[in-house]
Amino acid sequence: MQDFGDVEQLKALFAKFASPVRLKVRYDDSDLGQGIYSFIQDFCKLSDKLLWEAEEAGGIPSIEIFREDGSPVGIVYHAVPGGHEFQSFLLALYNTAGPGQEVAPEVAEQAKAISSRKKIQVMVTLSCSMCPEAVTAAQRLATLSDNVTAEIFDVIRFQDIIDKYKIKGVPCIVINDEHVTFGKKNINEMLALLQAAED
Amino acid sequence: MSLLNKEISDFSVQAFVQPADAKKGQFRTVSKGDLLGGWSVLFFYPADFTFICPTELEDLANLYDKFKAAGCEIYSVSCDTHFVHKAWHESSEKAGRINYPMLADPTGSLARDLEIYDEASGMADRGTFVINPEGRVAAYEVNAGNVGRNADELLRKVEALQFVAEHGDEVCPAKWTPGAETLKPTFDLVGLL
Repeated sequence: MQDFGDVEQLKALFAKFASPVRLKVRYDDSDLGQGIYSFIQDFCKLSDKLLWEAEEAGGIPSIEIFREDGSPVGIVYHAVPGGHEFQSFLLALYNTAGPGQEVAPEVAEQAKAISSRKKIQVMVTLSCSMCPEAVTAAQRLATLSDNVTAEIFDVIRFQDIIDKYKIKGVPCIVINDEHVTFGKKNINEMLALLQAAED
Repeated sequence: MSLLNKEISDFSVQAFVQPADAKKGQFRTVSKGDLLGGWSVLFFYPADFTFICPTELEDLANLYDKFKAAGCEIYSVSCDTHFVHKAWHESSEKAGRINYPMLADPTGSLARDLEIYDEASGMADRGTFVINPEGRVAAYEVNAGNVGRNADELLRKVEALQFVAEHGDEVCPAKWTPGAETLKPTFDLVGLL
């Protein structure tokens, strides 16, 4: 059984969930696929508000987050959400379940005003202390806007991405496969990146 | 004492340079002002017309385009005069491939400034100095004797230094080896809900 740390604090968090959330795991025989599977299997035992299903599938192993009604929020982890990313993962679930983290009204308004599809990819390592803020900002914006998706990569496992974007440090943030930025970002800074990438 | 972050002293030296698209080389003056505002490498070697030097300098010449693409100028430096540089460039096949400026430091002032001047021989040790846009030493290595240097590694180092200079206070250095200990979930939700 995976050690999740302070279980009481986790239970208090799940008690706040306004609704259950659904997690869909796509896995294969790789270390990442197996790691994701066993992590989520153990994690979802912590609360009956954590519903999950798994599918053995080709492609990159992933955890995708859905609302209770089965609609996607647009948040996908290609990572075992352990290490420092456990926090961003918990917040992603809380923001999906509701009521979610408080957001300044103008930020929520601007997020909803994003008019075209924005794919945010955040490349992290699980030992990076600068990364969770960027991931949290990306996933929060995904929960606020139907046009925004957030994909998180444990980049150690993706040499092709390291090479493609010449990544020498993390977080690395890529919007729509072309706008590349490095460094921690809060929600306002992440929103500005999306706005700058508007067509 | 370490030379890291040392600001290079003012200098003005003669150089020989033959760009890739030029039929003939030319002499020009290079001073500290040419280094400021961009990244550069000062690549010292003992003397023209020696054996290991052209190999190292040729390696560097082969990657010169990549250094330029990274916004980094290369300057080779020895305590020969610019006339000797010209003669060597014209007579050696390997040296003839060098397209970056070859600085002449016959008085040893540059080599002394970076503490690699060998008084006994009047030559510079094999020192490589990466100079940042503020004119300060961002990285350096000095090898004893005839140990050659690796141009690929130098390029990697320059690109890494540039990356850290731009993003250093807001990124974590990528540790590309997954470690089990990093997977233990950590969180603190106080104040976030």
